[in-house]
Amino acid sequence: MIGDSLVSLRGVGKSFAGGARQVTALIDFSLEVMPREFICILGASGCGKSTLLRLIADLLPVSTGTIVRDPLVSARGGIGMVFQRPALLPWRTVLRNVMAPAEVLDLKIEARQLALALIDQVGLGGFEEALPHQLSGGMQQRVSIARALLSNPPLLLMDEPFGALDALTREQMNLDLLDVWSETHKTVILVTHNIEEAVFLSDRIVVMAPRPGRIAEIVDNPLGRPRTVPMMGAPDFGALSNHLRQRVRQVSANGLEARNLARSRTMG
Amino acid sequence: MTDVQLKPTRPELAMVGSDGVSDASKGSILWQALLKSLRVMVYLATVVALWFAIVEFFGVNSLVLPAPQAVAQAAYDNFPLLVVHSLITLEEALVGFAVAIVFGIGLAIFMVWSETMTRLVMPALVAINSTPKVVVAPILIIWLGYGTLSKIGMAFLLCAFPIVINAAQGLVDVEPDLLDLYHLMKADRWTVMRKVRLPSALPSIFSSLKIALPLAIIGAVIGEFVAARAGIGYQIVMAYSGFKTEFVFAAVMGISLTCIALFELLNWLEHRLLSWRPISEGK
Repeated sequence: MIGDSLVSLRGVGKSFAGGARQVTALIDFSLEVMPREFICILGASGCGKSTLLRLIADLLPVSTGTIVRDPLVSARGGIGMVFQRPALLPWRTVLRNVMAPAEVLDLKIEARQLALALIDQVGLGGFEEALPHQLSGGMQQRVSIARALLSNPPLLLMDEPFGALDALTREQMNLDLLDVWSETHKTVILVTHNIEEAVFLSDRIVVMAPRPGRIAEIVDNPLGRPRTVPMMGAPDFGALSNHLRQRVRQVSANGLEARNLARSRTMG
Repeated sequence: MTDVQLKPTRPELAMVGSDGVSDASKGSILWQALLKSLRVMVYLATVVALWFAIVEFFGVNSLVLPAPQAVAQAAYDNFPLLVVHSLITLEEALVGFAVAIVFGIGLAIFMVWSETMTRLVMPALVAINSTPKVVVAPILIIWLGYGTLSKIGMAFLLCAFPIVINAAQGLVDVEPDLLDLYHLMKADRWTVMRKVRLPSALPSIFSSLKIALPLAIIGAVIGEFVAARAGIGYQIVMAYSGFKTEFVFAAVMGISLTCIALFELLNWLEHRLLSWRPISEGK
């Protein structure tokens, strides 16, 4: 089982030296990420979700524990990343933005053809020569997704990719992301604080507890695929959402309680 | 002629309120340019008329304020001399300016790459910039001689500081997610510099160039004031000691016009290079 996983996190922890005191962002995080899995990391802000993604991407070194990555993932261009903000190069056209990784990675394949196909796939056909500022937020995020897919990475990390979008756009983006995911056979780890989004997209949901960031619960999503909009009104969708909402509220309250307790202790 | 437009240097700020407005039609741009030059001409004519009226009406001594037609006559009579010496000054200023651009951006790149470098360089930069550069002119002339080199040095000294500071700031002010993305692809720092940092810094580099260009000309002229054998500053000093006020006026106006022309050239270049910016169009 462990041998088959794409990324394996074992007892991962991360602390930052914040001046005099140390801030623990993440503690004892263990997870086996299986190929083609869609994992959502769910939690309130401040529970180390973004830190977790940056650790997996090797943008940050772990403080404790280990992360074992499949060689395909640790290769250059083995991870695609999408941030909350599109992070496009504003002086470049859509096409040249999507092609940007090719210059860095020296992709041997015909990057231009691939980029054009990806732009089409994310629904931006006809906007190849547009500049980012001419596009809406949702469209910019589509460009960012196409760019992340250019190197054909087995693993896609998404850090609240639709957090800045309105609810309707978000729903459409979710549907389109699932299409892309099923067509490209990617493994996705998506961070979100939106419960419905996590339920709608995922195979598994990792509920995080804050301060320090840690796993509260890992929930297997029983919903079948393909996912459709009407499923959002179904009883099992509601049941899972309710369960998650309760868990998130509970762990956040616990975190606050623990903090208040610690504060009253130091005061007394 | 020199509408100085202030606009946000950060593209995401510029995005606010300008919802990707497409560029105005070519015809209206031409019409606007025509209106603009008409405005400038009316403005200039008014100034000259006022000047003429003051001289005539109050009978001002031509040593204090020569009449516009006298200045025009001086400019006409000494045209070759003015051009030759202006070109000498311009060359000094532009060489100093060019060296300052290369030095300024180069230093800024190293400052972004190394914090030690920043800590080492910043105090020296601030110290040099706090020194009144005019006082340094005699020293530069002792070191670099009476010729063009000391003037290039002055031009450089006056205009390097704003370029370094603005370029360094521009290179640092980069969207952090973009840097993460390039680090994720294990891009080397030169690639990040070329593909991300330098293009992001271009707007702030350009605003510093607009400050630096007139400073370079000032630097060259100051150098010529102190000690020189040629250049428009030298000619101004000569004319002034010979009580040829109308020549001084002609020379000053000539150098101002050159400065304005160069400034417009920079503006044009900026619009060309930064045409991707949402509100860099029109006006």
